[in-house]
Amino acid sequence: MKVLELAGVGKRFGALTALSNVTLDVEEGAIFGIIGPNGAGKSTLFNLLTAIYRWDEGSISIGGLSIAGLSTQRIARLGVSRTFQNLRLFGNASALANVMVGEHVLLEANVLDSLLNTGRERRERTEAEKRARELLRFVGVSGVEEQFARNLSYGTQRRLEIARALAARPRLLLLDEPAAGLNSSEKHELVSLIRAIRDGGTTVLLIEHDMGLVMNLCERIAVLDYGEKIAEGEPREIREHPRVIEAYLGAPA
Amino acid sequence: MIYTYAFVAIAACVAIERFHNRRAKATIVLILAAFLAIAPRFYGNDAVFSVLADAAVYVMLALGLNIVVGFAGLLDLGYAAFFAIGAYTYGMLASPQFGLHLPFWVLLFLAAALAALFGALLGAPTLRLHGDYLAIVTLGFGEIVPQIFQNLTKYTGGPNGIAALDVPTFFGHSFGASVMPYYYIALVGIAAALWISRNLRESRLGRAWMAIREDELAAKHAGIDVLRSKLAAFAIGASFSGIGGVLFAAKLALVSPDLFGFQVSVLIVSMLVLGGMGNIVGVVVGSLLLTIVNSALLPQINSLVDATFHTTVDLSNLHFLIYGAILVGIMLFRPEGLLPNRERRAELHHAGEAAGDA
Repeated sequence: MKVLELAGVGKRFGALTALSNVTLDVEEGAIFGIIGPNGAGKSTLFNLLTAIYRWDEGSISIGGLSIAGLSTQRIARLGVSRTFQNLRLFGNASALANVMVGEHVLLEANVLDSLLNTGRERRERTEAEKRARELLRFVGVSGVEEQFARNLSYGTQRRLEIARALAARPRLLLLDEPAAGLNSSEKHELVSLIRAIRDGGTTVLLIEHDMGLVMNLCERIAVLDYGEKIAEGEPREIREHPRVIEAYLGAPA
Repeated sequence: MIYTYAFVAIAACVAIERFHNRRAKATIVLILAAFLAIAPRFYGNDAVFSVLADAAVYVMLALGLNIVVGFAGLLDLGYAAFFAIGAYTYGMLASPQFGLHLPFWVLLFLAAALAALFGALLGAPTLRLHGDYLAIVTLGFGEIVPQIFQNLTKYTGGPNGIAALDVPTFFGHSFGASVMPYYYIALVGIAAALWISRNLRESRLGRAWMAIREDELAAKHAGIDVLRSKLAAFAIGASFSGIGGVLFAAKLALVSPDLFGFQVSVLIVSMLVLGGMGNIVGVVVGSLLLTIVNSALLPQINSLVDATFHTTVDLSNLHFLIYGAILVGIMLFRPEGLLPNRERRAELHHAGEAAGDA
């Protein structure tokens, strides 16, 4: 079963071609990596998947359903969660509240429930809070529930953002450079966390610059360069792929 | 006398902020409610309760605006428009203007619904605006609405407004000339507004507002319907001032467009800034303080000045100067307001200090 399918996707910003003719399938239960030099179009690709931008050509489906024309919040409701390259936490809110916002799509309380604090609202809140605490424990940051997100250490903030994304119980989790700024022991923990997330049934698609981490973690990797997919395969294949070596090290003299 | 009531109420609010024990807070609220309900039988006169009833209306307005500005983070500088809509609902439907004399109690709810409707209607065009742009557009709406009431002379009495509004009745008993019924209704109104504000803050919708206020893009990615949540904030916030407007109009037995000008919007925003935006108790304190300054302290100082220097100056012209001075002073010395919530304090101070507070 394919969670994500891209067929011939192209995106231009004026004269600049950010992505051209990208075709990509991500199988359910995979840990899929997208790598490529700076400006290769990796983040643009993520932004197409969550409807920050609209693509110009091709088609994108999630779980077999085309996402053409859907809004960011509709796509979130289809089970796509993401983290951001430069963290976008709700800084002046507690870690717990951050995760509880992530659970928004799972809750059913409507405006009237919220106004009148009905039984449904209270019941959902209690459950949401419990799940949020569990999630914080799962990503390894329990003990900071009541602290403001902005006061947490960088590594903790990264994990908190992952917890917020997981709170929606997504089928596809997009991680935009999750290891950026982490030290080597934190990276190590991140690898086991991402594996645990996948083992919990969530497909993971990640953009990363850290080659060692990607090669170690991902089962399948696609390489972008100047907006084109130049290679796709298992880590071993990618490592030896001549075009990948060329893209990263330059053409042989 | 007015200061006694104001002092008790404000002291209770400060105590509620200081205590963290739920039961202690509930006890203080109950004692304060009992005091405000019973004390008027023994202490005070009509003049005092007239000011207090007005203060209570302003507390409701401030709590309503707090939902828009404090919770959802949408700077609305035209909030008085909904106050006007509430007041004119009563003015037009319970007066000789059209010969309609709908009951006060029905209009209370009708005005809330109408204000909510207009809150959503006037909010809709602003949904994609942020910060300064939103403030300017809402400022415009705040000017337009009283202008419309002024120019629709045929229906609204134009610049003179509508006078001789119906005196409300309660199970056949007329309110007469007493201000006490308004005082009590406004107290119940505040209680309801406080209850709803607290419900909302802790709710799914409240968390959605927090997310929008903090990072709209991240909120969208969490599946929050940003536009609908903002509309809900505009509508709910406006409904409070619809009720406030009916109370205000019925008590004054008069509506006219100049009662709902820009200065009212500024006054309410000042109350939020003074008390601490986003914090329910802080907003109550801010609005009480400013109303007391406006309606009691300034007139007293005015007469004192006149008596001392045998002059006839009108200090009410200085209101704007005073709001300005208050805002500047608060911004300089306590930008988070007198009784801020944790979020606002954290936002405006260094991370280290906020951690110490938390």
